[in-house]
Amino acid sequence: MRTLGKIDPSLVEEISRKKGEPEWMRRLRLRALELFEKLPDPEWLGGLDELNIEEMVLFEEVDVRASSWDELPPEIRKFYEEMKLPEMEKRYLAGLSTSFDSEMVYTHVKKYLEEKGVILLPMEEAVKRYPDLVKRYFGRIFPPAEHKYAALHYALWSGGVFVYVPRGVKVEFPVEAFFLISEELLAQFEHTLIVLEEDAYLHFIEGCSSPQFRKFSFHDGAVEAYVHRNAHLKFTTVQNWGKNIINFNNKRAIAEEGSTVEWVEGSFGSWKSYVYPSVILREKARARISNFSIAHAGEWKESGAKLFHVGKESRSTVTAKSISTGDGVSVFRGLVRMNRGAERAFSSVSCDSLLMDPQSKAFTYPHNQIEEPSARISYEASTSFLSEEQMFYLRSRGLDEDAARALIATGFLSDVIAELPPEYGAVFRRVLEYNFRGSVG
Amino acid sequence: MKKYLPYGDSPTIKSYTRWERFEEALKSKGEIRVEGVEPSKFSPFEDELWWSGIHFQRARGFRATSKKISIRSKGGIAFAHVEVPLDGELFIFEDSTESPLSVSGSIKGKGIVYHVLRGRNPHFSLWKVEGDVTVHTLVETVDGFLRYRGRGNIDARGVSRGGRSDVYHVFEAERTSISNRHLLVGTDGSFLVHRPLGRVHEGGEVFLETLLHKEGGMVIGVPAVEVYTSRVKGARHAVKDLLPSEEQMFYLRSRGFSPEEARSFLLKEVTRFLLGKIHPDF
Repeated sequence: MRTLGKIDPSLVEEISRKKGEPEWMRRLRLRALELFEKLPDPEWLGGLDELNIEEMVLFEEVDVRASSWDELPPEIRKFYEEMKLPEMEKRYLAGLSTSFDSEMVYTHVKKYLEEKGVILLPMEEAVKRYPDLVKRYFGRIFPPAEHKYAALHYALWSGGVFVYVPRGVKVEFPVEAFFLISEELLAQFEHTLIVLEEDAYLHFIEGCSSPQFRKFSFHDGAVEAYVHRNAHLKFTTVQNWGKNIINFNNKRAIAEEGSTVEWVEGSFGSWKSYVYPSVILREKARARISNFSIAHAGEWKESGAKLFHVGKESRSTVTAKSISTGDGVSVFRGLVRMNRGAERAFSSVSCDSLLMDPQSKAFTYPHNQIEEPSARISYEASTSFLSEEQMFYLRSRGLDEDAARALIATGFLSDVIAELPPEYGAVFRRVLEYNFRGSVG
Repeated sequence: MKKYLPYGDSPTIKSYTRWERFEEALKSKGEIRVEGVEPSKFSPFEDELWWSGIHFQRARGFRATSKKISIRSKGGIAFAHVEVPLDGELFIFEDSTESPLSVSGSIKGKGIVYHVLRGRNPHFSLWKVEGDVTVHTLVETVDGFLRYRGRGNIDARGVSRGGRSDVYHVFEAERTSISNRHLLVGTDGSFLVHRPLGRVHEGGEVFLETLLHKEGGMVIGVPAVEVYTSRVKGARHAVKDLLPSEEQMFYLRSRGFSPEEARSFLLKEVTRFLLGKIHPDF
């Protein structure tokens, strides 16, 4: 069943009814819709002129819930097989959940983790099975009032996963959620919520993919993570949307005392992309954000980081790298805020751009706010260029032009790719090479 | 003229700027020729622009021929537009201590500008810079903003201290080289922002840096760079704080320095080091 048309209370109520949600979630959706109507369009968000959200499919019901690959209909399974997800799960993952358009269709977590109390569920199911737990965190880390499209997300959310890791449990292998948009003119609003109790550890991988479309599709997802005392969350995103996706992602974590949050964000695909992982750091919390993006001809890629230091001796590091080819535009937009009371807090941001062609562009807009006298900030950005000497050197050693460009790009991003698990690092390198061979020359 | 150098004792500012030149600017009474308007209508002094009274007044089309310009408001709200040809050194002193002031101007030519803004009233200062120009700015306890828009070979450096001030620098580099460094010294209750924007086109080069020194208040550095082609000479920007590390402080204190002496010594050295990298004259 498909839902599209005017975004009004009856449409929101229809989605809520189809999902059989509790009353508090229905009310939250309606309040978010009111906010969406009231809030102005964010000035920094481009690409919306080409997008008429009311023409799009806002919710597509997929009546499949599988916990083994055999249970999936072949026409859906083939997408995941092409991406080698079943193989990946077997070899490397502790749990996997995959979406198909608006809903999660496959979810499986290793039995020994279930026995330790780890929960991996589609978000809709978690709302029904663990209402108190979900209600405690849902929408409280990244509130709907943040901006207009955060409000829209909360009004229309569908899909996404809920992950809960109990106190002291360390999940040794990564858990992955994979999001797929299979058709054009579809809007996806998945919501992921991760809760790590004290001393827990989790590496969560988010994969995004879609075929190439002629018309636009829209992705307005959200990730919320609550990391309790001394817990450690690593969150890796491999975003490889098709070229006609407008990607807009709201990501935020709260890092409690002594905890660590790492975001690794790789942005290859989409036409326009806006992703700024953010962390609120309490006392002695640590955050590390590494992101890289590639803007091909005609693309606009915004990435960045937002760090709010509220606790004493909290520390954060941001490493951002971007590559622009053709007339692609890479933008870094960052915020580091040191609140009064964040004594001896420290943040270091480094941002590097590589321009591959004369028409390429790179813009950087950092924002550093210090209210605490003993807090420290270090920010540095540089832009480098593909030089004729580099190309000549590589070509004189037998590489063709595309291979030389791919090699330079891989070298430029190598320290960020090193953050990834080896299997995913290899995938990144392949995608990178494919990107350069396929798009420039 | 009342002597107002409460920040003159700061080793940070002294070592960061050519302090004595700012003193020169502060002392200047100014000599300004007003074309088309009798200066005496506005000012009891021929050598100063001075508005008085509670009426809203506006003056345009001043062409300065002097090397020292002093613009101040006294009662009411003063607006002025000044065009300054530059050849050698130029001193500009804007004072909004007594009433709000809005100044716009253009500087064209080759040389060094020492520009001081002072006051506690709403103060808006917009300047367009063109040519081969070095600009030194001192923004002190100003409640308003300073905006420089420049094209040419420009080396702009400045200090903001106290009050609420928003300093914008907008530079376009096309076959030119632009460097901008600004030091924000936050004191209790102050709210200081530095927003340099460098737009780099073919053959251009931009280097922007915001230095933060917090004694209190809020300091914000927002250096932005837009690079429009790969055919540029270079583009870099940075924000650094000048807070000494615990190790540095421990080292100096264990050698008999008081905390204040140690802090002053380190700040002086840091700024000297940074300046040494920019220009041999400093």
